[in-house]
Amino acid sequence: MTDKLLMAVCLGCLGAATGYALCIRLKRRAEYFADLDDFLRVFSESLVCSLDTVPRVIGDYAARSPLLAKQLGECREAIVSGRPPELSRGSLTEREAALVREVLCGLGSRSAESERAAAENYRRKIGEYGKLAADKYAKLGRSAVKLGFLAGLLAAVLCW
Amino acid sequence: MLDLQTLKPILPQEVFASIEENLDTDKLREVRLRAGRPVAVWYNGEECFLTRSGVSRSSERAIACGADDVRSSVMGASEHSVYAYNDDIGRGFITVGGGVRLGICGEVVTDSGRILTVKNYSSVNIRIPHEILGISRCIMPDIISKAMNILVISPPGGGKTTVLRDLARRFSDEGGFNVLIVDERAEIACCRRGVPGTDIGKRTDVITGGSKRHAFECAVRAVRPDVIVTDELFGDDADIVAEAAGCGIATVASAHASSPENFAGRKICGRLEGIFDIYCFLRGFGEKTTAELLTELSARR
Repeated sequence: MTDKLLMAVCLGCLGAATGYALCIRLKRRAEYFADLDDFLRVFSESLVCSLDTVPRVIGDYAARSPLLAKQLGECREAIVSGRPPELSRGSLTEREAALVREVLCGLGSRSAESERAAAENYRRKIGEYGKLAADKYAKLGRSAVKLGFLAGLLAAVLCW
Repeated sequence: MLDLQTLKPILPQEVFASIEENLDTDKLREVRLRAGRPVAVWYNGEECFLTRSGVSRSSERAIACGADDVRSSVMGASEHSVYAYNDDIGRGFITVGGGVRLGICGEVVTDSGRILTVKNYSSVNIRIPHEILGISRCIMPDIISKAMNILVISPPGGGKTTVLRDLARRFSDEGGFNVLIVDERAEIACCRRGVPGTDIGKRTDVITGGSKRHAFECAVRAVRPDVIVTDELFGDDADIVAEAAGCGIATVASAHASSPENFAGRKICGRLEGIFDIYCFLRGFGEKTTAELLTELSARR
């Protein structure tokens, strides 16, 4: 009996932990797209005022999303060393990763005016992904821990 | 001496590896990347092709260069920020760290005659500066207490810029003069983000990129130099040099000509008459440069 109770508690905790991990993942995805949008806004503004180089804009930008911070670091490193960038994919889907690659690898290849137009265009596309990610987080993220816990308990009942 | 790492972002990997492994960078003056053609270098005083194992006069085993390599070179030189270097690209060059300069050829995009940018880059010429400290002693063994108006004349590639740079450094360090380098094409001081890529002296200021007229006006109104050093005088430049001389500022400048007679026949020579104290015609190459000093050129016509 004690063993079974212990198993139920463990499965419940495991479910809750899985739900929490999912919640964090969804939250980070939503944050990532918001952060990328913010970076492009900062980049676009720098084209009007300071015309700082891409490595400098990247270096000055304090990314909140760990994935974006990693990708920007990789991008900057590649620019400095003169080799093509290989960006981390993290929790991004293949399509999202392709867009991000297009955005970051294309930075700085155009005149200021074209660069600003491209940045605004990418912000629109990223905004759509961001909205989907934020909606998903709002819908699933907050209940993921509870659902995970209940799923764990259900598994325990089935195993009883 | 050139830090080879400066060239890494602007050279294709294969080209960089060959230069790093096989060449003495002290003897390397130019690397030419032309789309669809072999990589050429100006090495040890001669033009040759770059191979995986060194240099060769034959293009047979030369490393080939593609349009993407040329584009990557421009991207690398502009720190992947074409927009930040667009004015320089429009003028046909980018100055990289350490005074390395990238001359750019391609399709010029214009709007009502105004150059917007250059696209479809067809070739780049990467020029590596070589300072020869003391080269200007062939003109002036010792810096005298009163700065003079000096015009340095030679054919293209004859060492005018090297001599001007050394004169600027010596007027500044040895003579104690405040020197202003008016560097329209960033060739003398090779400034990148305000930092000179060459030794131009402790009392030297640099105005890069603007027109000579603007720089001379700034000098007279605000910078108060004793000596202005500038390169390649053309047409109306004679007027601004005369104005500076009238304000008590000495000018050290350069002009292209294959011989003193050739220069004496140029229109600008007549306009400069009476302004310059010494005309120095350079001969030779590198450390073996010599100078013929003339106080007037009218007799050479």
